[in-house]
Amino acid sequence: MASFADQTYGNWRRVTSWGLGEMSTAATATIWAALLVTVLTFMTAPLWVALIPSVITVGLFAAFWFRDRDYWTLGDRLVNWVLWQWRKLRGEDAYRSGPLSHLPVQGFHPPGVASSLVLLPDGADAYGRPFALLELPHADSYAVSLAASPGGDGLIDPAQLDQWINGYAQFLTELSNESSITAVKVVVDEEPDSGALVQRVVRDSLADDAPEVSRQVAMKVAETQGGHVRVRAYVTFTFAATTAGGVKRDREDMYRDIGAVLPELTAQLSKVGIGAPVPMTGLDVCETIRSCWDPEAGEIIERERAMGHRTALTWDQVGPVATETAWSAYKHDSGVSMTWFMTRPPSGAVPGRILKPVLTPHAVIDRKRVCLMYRPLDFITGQARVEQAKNKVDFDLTKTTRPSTRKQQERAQVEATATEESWGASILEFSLAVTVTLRHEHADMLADARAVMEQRFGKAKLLMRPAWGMHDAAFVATLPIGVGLQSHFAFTRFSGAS
Amino acid sequence: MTARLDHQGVPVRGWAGRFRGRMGITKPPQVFEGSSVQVAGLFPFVTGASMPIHGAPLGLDEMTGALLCADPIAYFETLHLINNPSAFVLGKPGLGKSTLVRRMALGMNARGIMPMVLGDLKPDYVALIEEMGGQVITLGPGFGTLNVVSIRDAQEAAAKLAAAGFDREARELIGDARGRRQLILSTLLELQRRAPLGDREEAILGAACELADEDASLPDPELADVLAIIRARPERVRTAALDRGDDEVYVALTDHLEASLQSLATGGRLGRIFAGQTTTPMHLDRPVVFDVSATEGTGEDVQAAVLLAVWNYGFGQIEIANTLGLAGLAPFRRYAIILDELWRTLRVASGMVDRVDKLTRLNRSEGVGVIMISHTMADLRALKSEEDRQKAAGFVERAGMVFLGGLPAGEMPRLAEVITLSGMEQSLLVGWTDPPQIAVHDLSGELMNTRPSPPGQGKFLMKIGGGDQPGVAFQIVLTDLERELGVMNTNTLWEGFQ
Repeated sequence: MASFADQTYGNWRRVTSWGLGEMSTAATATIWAALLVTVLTFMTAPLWVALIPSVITVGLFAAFWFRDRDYWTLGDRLVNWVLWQWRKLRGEDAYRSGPLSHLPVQGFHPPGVASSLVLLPDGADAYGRPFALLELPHADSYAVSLAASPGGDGLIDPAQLDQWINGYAQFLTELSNESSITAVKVVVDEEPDSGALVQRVVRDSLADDAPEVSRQVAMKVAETQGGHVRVRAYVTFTFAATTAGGVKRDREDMYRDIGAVLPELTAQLSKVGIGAPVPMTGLDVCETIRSCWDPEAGEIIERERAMGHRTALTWDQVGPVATETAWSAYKHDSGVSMTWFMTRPPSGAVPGRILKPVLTPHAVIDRKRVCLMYRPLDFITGQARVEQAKNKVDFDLTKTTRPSTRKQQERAQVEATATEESWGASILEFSLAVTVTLRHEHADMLADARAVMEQRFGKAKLLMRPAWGMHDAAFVATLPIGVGLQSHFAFTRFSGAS
Repeated sequence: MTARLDHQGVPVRGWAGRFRGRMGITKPPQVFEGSSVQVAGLFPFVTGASMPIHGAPLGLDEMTGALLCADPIAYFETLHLINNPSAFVLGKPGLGKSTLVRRMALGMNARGIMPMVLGDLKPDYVALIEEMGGQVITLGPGFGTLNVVSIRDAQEAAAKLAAAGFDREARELIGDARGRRQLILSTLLELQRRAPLGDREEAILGAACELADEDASLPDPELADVLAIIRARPERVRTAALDRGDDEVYVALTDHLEASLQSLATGGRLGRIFAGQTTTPMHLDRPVVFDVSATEGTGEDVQAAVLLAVWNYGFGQIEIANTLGLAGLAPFRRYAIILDELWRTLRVASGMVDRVDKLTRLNRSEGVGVIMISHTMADLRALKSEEDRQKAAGFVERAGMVFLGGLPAGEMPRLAEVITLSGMEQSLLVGWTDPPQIAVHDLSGELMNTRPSPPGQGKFLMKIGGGDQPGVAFQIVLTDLERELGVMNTNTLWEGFQ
C-alpha cells in the first residue's frame, strides 16, 4: 500500500468576547449591574428586601456561568426559547407570498433576512464572462457567486489531495489581501437522485425509429442500475461598498472593481480540485435559489437543464409561496429542512478528508448543503488577534504553578498559529453550517435524516447543534447568496459566541 | 431590537406582522479562528458528482453508485468533454471488453446511431446486430468476395454532389476514394508478396486503376480488369512506368507486379476474397457487421488482409454517406464504427501502423464515432521497429476517451507513458486481474461454491482526454433482458456471470 501523506490540520480556537471567566461581555456587564443593584439595596433597604436582588444575581450567575457541551449557557437557552415564543405569538413564524399575502410588495420574494436583497443586472468581468451582483443594502455590501462541479477524491492519490488543500490554503490566505472582501461562503450542494431524473433523461433521448431491443435495453439499464448524484460547489464573495480607505463606492464602481478581481479569484480556485469555477449569472442564481426553496420546482429546472433548456426566472419569483417555521424544522413549499450549526470543530489534528462523512450523500437525505463561512481578517487585525490569544493563554498559565495538559496544549497551538502567521498565513474566522432538506412526501423520515446526520457528524469529529427556533434564518444562511447572520444580531460584538 | 430600514424600506429581518415571516436570530453561529493553512484542512471538496447523463447507459459508478452514461459521440458532440469522437478499449482478455462495447452499441443504437462492426473475428457482435435488424456480411475463404478496385459508389455520389453545386466536395470525395484504393491495393500486394512495392509499381498501379475508372465499358472494375489493362500496355501506363518506349523494359518493370496481381486476382496465398465483385454490398441505413470469423483458421496475414480490406470498404462507404448527408442530398445518419482486434493488423508487417492510421481516418467526422479495441499495450511490443511502437501508442494517446479493463502490473509503465494514471488507479487496474477463486467440488463432483468468475470482470476505468482528471471506475451488470436475448455471451464461462 502506498504510504499516505500524514498531513494533518488543527489548532482552531473559539472566538469569545472579553469577559469574566468564560462569560460573554454582555453577561458580565449584566452580572456587574445586578451585583451593583444588590449592594445598593443592601445598603439602603431592610435585609429581607435585599434578599430579592441577591437571589436574582445568584440566579443570573448560575444561568450565565455554566456552559454545556455546545458552549451554550442556561441563559442562552432561556433567551432562545422566550424569543421563539414571542415570534409565535406575533404570528411571524409563518410566511405567505404572492397574490394572497399581506406583504407590501408583489410577487414571491424571499422571506426574512433575504427579503431586502436586490438582484442587479449582469455585468461582465475582465474576461467578458457575465456575473450577477446581489446588493445587501443593510450590510452596505455586494455579493457575487461562482459555481463549479467538484470532481471528488475517489481515485486520486493522497499527494494530489494535499496539493488541492495547499491550493485552498493559498486561496484563503490571498483573501486577506483583497481588502474589500468581508466574507466568503463556500456551499457544497448535493442532491442524490434515486433514478427518476436519469430515467427521464434517457427516455427522452431515445430515437423513435430505433430498434425495439436497443430501446428496451437502454431503458432497463437506466431503471435498474444506479441513480445520479449532482454535486455543485458555490463560492460567494461579499464585498463591502466602503473600501478600507473610507471611500464609498456606488454600483458602477462595484461592477468595475468586482469584474477586475473575479478572474484572479477564479484562477486561484481552479487549483483546488473543483475544475474551473464560472461566475453565476442572474438566471443561475434565481434557478439555484428557487430550487433550494422548492425542491419540486428544482427537479423540473434540473431536468430541463439536462436537456439544455433554461427557465426565465426573475428574482421576484424565487421565494417560497408559503413557509412554516417550527421549533425543530422549517417547512417551505414542497420541502422541509433542518439546519445544524457547528459548536466545536474537530479537536486535535485531523486529516484533510475529515469532512468526507458529512459530504457523502445518503439515500434518505434528498438534499444537503454544507456551508463554510469565512471572514478573512486583514493582516493587522490578524496579528493583533494572535497576540491577544498568546497573552490570554500566557496569563492563564501564570495563574497556576501546575498548568493542566490542556492549557499547555493550548499554548502550543497558539504558538503554532503565531509561527504560521509570521510566515505569511492569514488569520480567518470561520463557521460551519449544514442544511438538510427533505421532500415533503418524505417528511416522516426527518427523524431518520437527523439520526444519519448526527452519526456522520460524530464520524467527522464535529459537534453540531440544530438551530432550534431559528431554522428559517439558518436556512437562508446556507444559501449561496452572501447573507451572514452575524451582522443581524445587534449584540454580536459583545456577546460573541455566547 | 428595532428594525433597521434600508433605503428601499425593506426591514433587515423581513416584514413584521402575521404571516410576513420576519426571522429571529437569537444566536448567530459560533465563530472559530485559525490560520489559513489550518483552516484549509476543513476541505469541503472531497465529494464528487457523477458524470452528466448523456450517452449510452453503461453501468454503476463504483465511487458514487450513480449510473455512468458514456459514448464517444455524446461526449464529443453534446458534452464537449473530448476533442475527437473516438474511444479506445484496453484490457486483458476475458474480462468483458466485448460486453462493454456491445452495451455501448446498444445504447447508441437506442439514440439512432448505427453501429458498424467492421470485422468481427470471434464472432462477438453478429447475434447483436441481427437482433437489431441489421445486416450481416460474411467474408472468408469460400464465403463472399469484396471488390477493392471499384470506386463506382464514390463516382455516383460525386456526380450527385457536382449536380447540386458541391464541386469541391465532389472532387474531394473522388480524390479520397482513389487514395484509399491505392493504399489498400498496395497494402494487399505487399502482404501477398511479403515485400514492399516499388515506387514505379505504385505509379503503374495508379495509372491502370484510373484508366479502369474512366472505361465506360467497365462499370465495376475488379482486379482482373486492372491486370488486363496493365497487360494491354496503354500509353498512360507506359508513361507511368517510364519505360521510354521499350517493351522489354516494360515487361521487366511490370513482371513482379503482374505476378502479385495475378495471384491476388485468382486466389493465391491471400485467398479469393478480393477476386470478384462485392457479393453483399453494405447498406448504410442500418447496423452492419462483417463476419470474418471464417478466417480464423487461416494465416495471420490473411486475417490482416481481410480486416484491412473491410475497414477500407466500410470507412469509404461511410465517408460517402456522410458527405452526402452533410450536403443534404441524403438523410444524415450517425455511425459508430467498431474496430475489434486492432493489434492483429498492426503487427502483421512493418509500417502497418501508418496505413491503418490513414485507412481509419475520415475527412468529415461529424456524426461518426470510432471505437477501437485491443488487448494490452504489450501487444505493441510485437511490432518490430521502435518507430512503429511509438506510432501505435499514438493511437491510444489520440483517442478521446480510453476504457481500461484489468491490466497486469507490467503494463503500467508503458501505459503511463500515454495516459496519466494515479497510483490508486493503477492499483485498481492491477487488482482487477486477480484470478477467480478456485471452483470447489465435493466428492460427488457437485460444485460447492458459486460459479467462480474473475473479480475484475465487467469492471472498467474510463479516462477522458489524456487523463489529467481522475477516471471513473464502473461495473457492468447484465440485465435480465440482455441475458434472455443471449446476445451477450462471449463464451460459456459467462453463464454464471451475475
